[in-house]
Amino acid sequence: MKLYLSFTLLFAGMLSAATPAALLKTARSTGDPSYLAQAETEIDGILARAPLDFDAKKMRVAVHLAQHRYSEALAEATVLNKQMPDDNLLYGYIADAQIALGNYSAAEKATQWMIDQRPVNAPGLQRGARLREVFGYNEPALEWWNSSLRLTSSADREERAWIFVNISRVHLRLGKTAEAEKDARQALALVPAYPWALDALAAAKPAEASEILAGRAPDLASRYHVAKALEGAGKPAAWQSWESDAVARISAPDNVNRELIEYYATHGKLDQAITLGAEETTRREDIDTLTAYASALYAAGQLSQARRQVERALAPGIRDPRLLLLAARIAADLQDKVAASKYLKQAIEINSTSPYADQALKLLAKLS
Amino acid sequence: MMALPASSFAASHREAPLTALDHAADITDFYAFRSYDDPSKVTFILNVDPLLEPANGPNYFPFDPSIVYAIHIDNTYDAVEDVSFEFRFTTTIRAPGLFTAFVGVGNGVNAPANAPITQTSSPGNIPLNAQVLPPAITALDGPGSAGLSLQQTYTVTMVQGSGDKAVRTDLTGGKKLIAVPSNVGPRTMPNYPALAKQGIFGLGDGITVFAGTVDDPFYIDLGAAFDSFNFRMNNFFAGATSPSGVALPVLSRTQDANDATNYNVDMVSGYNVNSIAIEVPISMVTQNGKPVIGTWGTTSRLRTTVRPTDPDVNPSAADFVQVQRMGNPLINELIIGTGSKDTWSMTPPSQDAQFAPYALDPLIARALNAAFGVAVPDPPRTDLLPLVQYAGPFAGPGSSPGPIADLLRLDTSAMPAAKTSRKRLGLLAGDTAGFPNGRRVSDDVTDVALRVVAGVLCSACTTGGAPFNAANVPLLGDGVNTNDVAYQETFPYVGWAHSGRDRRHVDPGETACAPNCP
Repeated sequence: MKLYLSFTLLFAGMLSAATPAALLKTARSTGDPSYLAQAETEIDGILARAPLDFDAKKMRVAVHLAQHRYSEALAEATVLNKQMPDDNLLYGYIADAQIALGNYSAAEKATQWMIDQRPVNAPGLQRGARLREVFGYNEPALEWWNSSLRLTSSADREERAWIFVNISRVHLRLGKTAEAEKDARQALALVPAYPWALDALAAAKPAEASEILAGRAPDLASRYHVAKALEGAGKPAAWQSWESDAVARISAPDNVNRELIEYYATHGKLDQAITLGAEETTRREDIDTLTAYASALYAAGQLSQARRQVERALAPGIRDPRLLLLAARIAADLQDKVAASKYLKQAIEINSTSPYADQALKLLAKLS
Repeated sequence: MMALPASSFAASHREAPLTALDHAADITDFYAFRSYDDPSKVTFILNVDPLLEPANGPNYFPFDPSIVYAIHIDNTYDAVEDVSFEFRFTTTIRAPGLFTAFVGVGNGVNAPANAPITQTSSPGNIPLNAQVLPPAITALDGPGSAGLSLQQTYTVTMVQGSGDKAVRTDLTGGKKLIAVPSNVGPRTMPNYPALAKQGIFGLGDGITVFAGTVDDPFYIDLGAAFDSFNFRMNNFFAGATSPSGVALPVLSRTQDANDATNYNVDMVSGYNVNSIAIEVPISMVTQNGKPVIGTWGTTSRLRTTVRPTDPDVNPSAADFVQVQRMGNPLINELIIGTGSKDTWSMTPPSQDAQFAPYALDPLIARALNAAFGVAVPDPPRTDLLPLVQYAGPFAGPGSSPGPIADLLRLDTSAMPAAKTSRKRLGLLAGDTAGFPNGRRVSDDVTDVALRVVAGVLCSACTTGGAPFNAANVPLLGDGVNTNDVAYQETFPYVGWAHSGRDRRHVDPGETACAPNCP
């Protein structure tokens, strides 16, 4: 999920925490997590001088979310929410943490309250759009991402770039790769070298991924994407140093365990992938983590287990052709042609002219 | 004087941050009382949309058709509605060629001989001798209503029970219920009272309804209250001081006993408000042997949901989100903290236990103490609990106090007071038919609230650890003792809307103008 945050409302009335806010913004613009550590130090300073500073405490939640310290952030946001139930963005932080942890029902409750409080509210619409994606409403999700874009000032270039990245993801899921590429390029026009836009562009144009991702920020997740892109392009990738760094952070809050599971699964280290997947899914049940674990199990031939995990990933209702293709392959290998056909048809229904639909059609033909 | 919270007073005009942005859903006041002229009935009045300037045309103040306005009654002492009345409005533009929503002159004015040439493409396309200005508006519908271009009709639904099991009954019965427009002025509406009375509709079974723009019956020195309690004390009683020597907004006993005179400026004078009133038989909203009811008003809008809804399916109650509610006056303004006001507005009263800490240690009491040096009781302020439970004078026979919930409680077995014996201070002045036993339009809830918060009902309390003497609570008040226009003694009991052309707001420095100002 990276720095999946909206900062639109963070800065209103945040005089005492202005520097951390700027650092947080810079962290998202550059993808460099060192700014988050600086922001945290600044916040600690503010709270040492003024222990009751609500805005500083709220900013700390945002920093912890950006650092993937979701459980911590959730606990802190819940305390602040009790102090100031009218603070709309705190519900957004609660939703962010719950989404990251895979607690989609709790995330929906928090987001719904955000929207009940303020129906025309960009941060609320953004969380709602993300959940609409999770629940399988891709077009309505697109509608809310676009609404949030219209509500965001043209002066807030980074925020708009961030929204374009999200729109790109939905377009890609719908098989609209040209639109996804266009969205990513619009984000890059707003914030040159915007790391999340580079990721989005690489996803939309995999053939150019290694070039697109060259020069990405040095955080572990980014390094994984760069290495993966280079490997895909037949170029040498710095896997060894990445793996040792990733393993060193395996118990840290801002780990890259999801990427590590995927790395293990695709580099012949299936036992490690499955062990880590099993551990990680006890900590968080978000769709991406469950999908990574299911992929590892599938690669290891543990088909029944793989099926269980992919069904957990699909349970909220998400309609993602890539996930449906994985589910179909698992079902097909289990000789469950009915289920495999169902998943493939669902993948085709999302967009019958997309590259995913092509793959699904081919697999469907094989099944029959 | 130290700085005080900006949000205080004014029964409920723009008290919560979000409703301040949604004026049509903003409940200003809620009233419930046994009808003065028919003690077999009870009247509920829900006022919304604060401080309507009567001259503010051309469309004036329609109700919002996207809002469900509702009055709820709990008669089983669980703070959950057992009977509700819902009002929904529809707007029609009846004469799209008219230049304004309400217009009319005498018997109507035709295009004169020197009228401009008619172009077939012009919107008016009015030939010579054809009517340009319709006759003065003398009726809400039919002859005499041609100039009433913007017309609002409404439906009334009775809901018995709550949630999915509620039974809904349309009370409209095919009648065309028309909301009374604001009083544009004497040329357009030459006999406004007669016009407004046409907005009183009988629905059968003893039910009467009214909806429309009326005089705001609330009275207060609003500006002084919002200016951190900067009351104009030299206008009424100068000289009273607290033990620490701070001048107090206190009335003399003579002034306090005079319910017909204002010693200060009613800053709501000359303003209108949108009012929904319903009078029903008491038996319709009570259960046998349980004369006490708890009641409140709400405004709700259709919810925008994370999960898209099917447009072909009619929305259920759960599809609406509560924008605001009101039971007792001044609860959200005086008691609830600024970080919780919107949440309070959107929460059903049955979940009010979460706000109990605010009631048991009200910030407003501490503010009074800080600003004026007035001794106030120590927390927990259990003396305030009868306002939020079925306790004290509102105890349900044989029932528990029920949950903490902000409901306006009314003992329907208490006879209404005659006009001559009605007291603005209600129960504090020995008038058992007045606030907080329900609330009549004439009750001075500002002065009552100040004194109750200062501890006038606190019989076994301490202050700073020492015994607290409720008899020493000063006669706190804002010096505004009555409304700028007379109330009616019959349904809907409020005064008719001020004329847009001739309205008058009483300003500081003017004669206090009480009562019955033009």
